Order: sequence, then C-alpha cells, then structure tokens
Amino acid sequence: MTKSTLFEQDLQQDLLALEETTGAPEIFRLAQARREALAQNKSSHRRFLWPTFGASLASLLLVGVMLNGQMGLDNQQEARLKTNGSEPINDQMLLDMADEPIDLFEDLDFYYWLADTDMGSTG
Amino acid sequence: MENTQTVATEEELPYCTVEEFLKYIERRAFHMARTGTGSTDSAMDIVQDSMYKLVEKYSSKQPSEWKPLFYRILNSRLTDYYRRKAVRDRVFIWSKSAPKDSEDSVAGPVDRAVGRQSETPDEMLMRGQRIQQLNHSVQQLPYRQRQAFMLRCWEGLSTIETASAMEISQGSVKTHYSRAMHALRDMLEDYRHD
Repeated sequence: MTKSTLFEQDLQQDLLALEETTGAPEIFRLAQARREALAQNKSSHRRFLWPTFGASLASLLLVGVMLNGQMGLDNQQEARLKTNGSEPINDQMLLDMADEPIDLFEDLDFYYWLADTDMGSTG
Repeated sequence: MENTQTVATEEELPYCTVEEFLKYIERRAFHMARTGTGSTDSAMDIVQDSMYKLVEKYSSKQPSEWKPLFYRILNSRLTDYYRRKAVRDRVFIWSKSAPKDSEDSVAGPVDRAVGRQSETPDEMLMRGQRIQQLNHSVQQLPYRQRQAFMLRCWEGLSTIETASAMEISQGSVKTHYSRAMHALRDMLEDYRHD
C-alpha cells in the first residue's frame, strides 16, 4: 500500500469522524430542511391538481349542457309536427302512419272538377 | 486511490427514495458546506437550497443520478456564496471579518468528538485535534482544489462523477485533486506514514 493511499485513508477516516461530530441542533435543522424540501414538492403537485381537476369537471359539465340542449331542441322540433288534433305526433304515431296504406289520388281531376262546380254553384 | 466504477448500480445504493437519499447525504453536505463557508448558518442555507432544488427539479431522475446532481447544485450554491461574499467584502471593506463561527469551528470538533469505545481519552483528544487541523487545512485550499478533494476523497465520487458535479473535464479534476493532496500532505505532517 503506497504512502499516498495510506494518507488518503487517514483523511477519509477523520472526515467520517467529523460527520459524527454533528451537533443535535444541526441534526434537527437538517431534518427540518429535509421535511420542508419534500413538502414543497407535494404541495406543488397539489397546486396543479385542483385547477386541472376543476377545469376537467367544468369541461364535462359544458359538454353535458350542450348535449342536453341539443336533445331539447330535437324534442321541440318533434313537438311542432302536430296533426289536426291537438296531440303532437309521437314516434309511435309516425310508425303507425308508415304502416297505413297510402291512398293514391287517382281521381284527382274529378275532385278538382267537383270543387270548381261547387264554387260555380255557390258563386 | 481511484474509484474504478463510474456510476453505482441501483442495487448497490443505500437509498431508493428521495427522502432516504437526503437523509443519507445531509450531514456530509452540511460539513462540506461549513468547511467551504466557515459559517454554520450559511452552510445550513446552502444545504437547504440544494435539497429544495434537487426535489423540485430532479426527483424524477434515477437514484444513481441524484448524488452527482446534488453535488453539482451544492457546488453551484457555494460558488454563488463566494461571489456574493467577494462583492460584499469589496463594498463593505471596513466590515470584513473572520467567519462568524470560527471559534465554534475550532472548539466544536474537539468538544464534540465522539470517542470510539476502543479509544482512550488521549486518543480521543488527539483525534479531535486532528479533525480540527484537517478542517482548517481544507479551508485553506483554493476553491477548485477544495471541491475536488471533498468530492473525490470525502464523498468517494469517481473522476467522471466529480467532473460532472464540478462541470469541468476529468483531466482538470485529476489536476485539482493531485494539487489538493500535495498541499494537505504538506500542511498535515502528522498524517505522514514513514
């Protein structure tokens, strides 16, 4: 073992012994500094967490309101399609109407002539 | 003595969380900072700043990277301290004085030297005086030599890790370290082995 190695080892031993001379007040302050450093990291995460959560929640609510509004408009449009009766047409009625045979107005000319004759007799 | 391994593997590290790392490093860092500044309060501020910065910026890094990163931050804070002190000393030249707790640093290690069970009181006293002398001698070293010595000899970093922490080349680390050891050998004649 060389002299320089022995010298370095002696120095290392004494430097480690120097660490053991750390007084209780210093140990306490170091522990406090360590806790504060770790706490600021956690609080910085929380600082971003709540605004992010709030923004996400607000976005979801907005989407929900928009979808709900759109569905409401669709319902209103359906409500405008009314028959002679006061009842609005619902889906079932539309289906029933679709099943009914469609009357083709084959005698449309006759009905026009009838209408003209009636108008002529009254007028 | 040359550290052959460049970076410790994860399995060999005595810590795996940031909290464990800070607990492991804090006393040594404090003594290094106090040796560099000669002031307990300044050393405490520097160590606390370094802890904050490490946790804030680098806690997501691999554990094997924390030690060199922490010492890079510590060295940066020490450099800032020296610059501020140099400016302060130039501006307030009439108030330039010895470090605040220079008396503490003289009395502290001797008074607080923990004796090993195998040591006699004389040996304890000798050890305390040696520590005090070593502390004083390291403070006399030029800044870069002191840095290289503390990181290589005290902390046991490899040349590569020390170069990363000091942000200089490996060749410069070797030069500074070699000069530091020569200077300390001259100052600490009691350590010589004939």
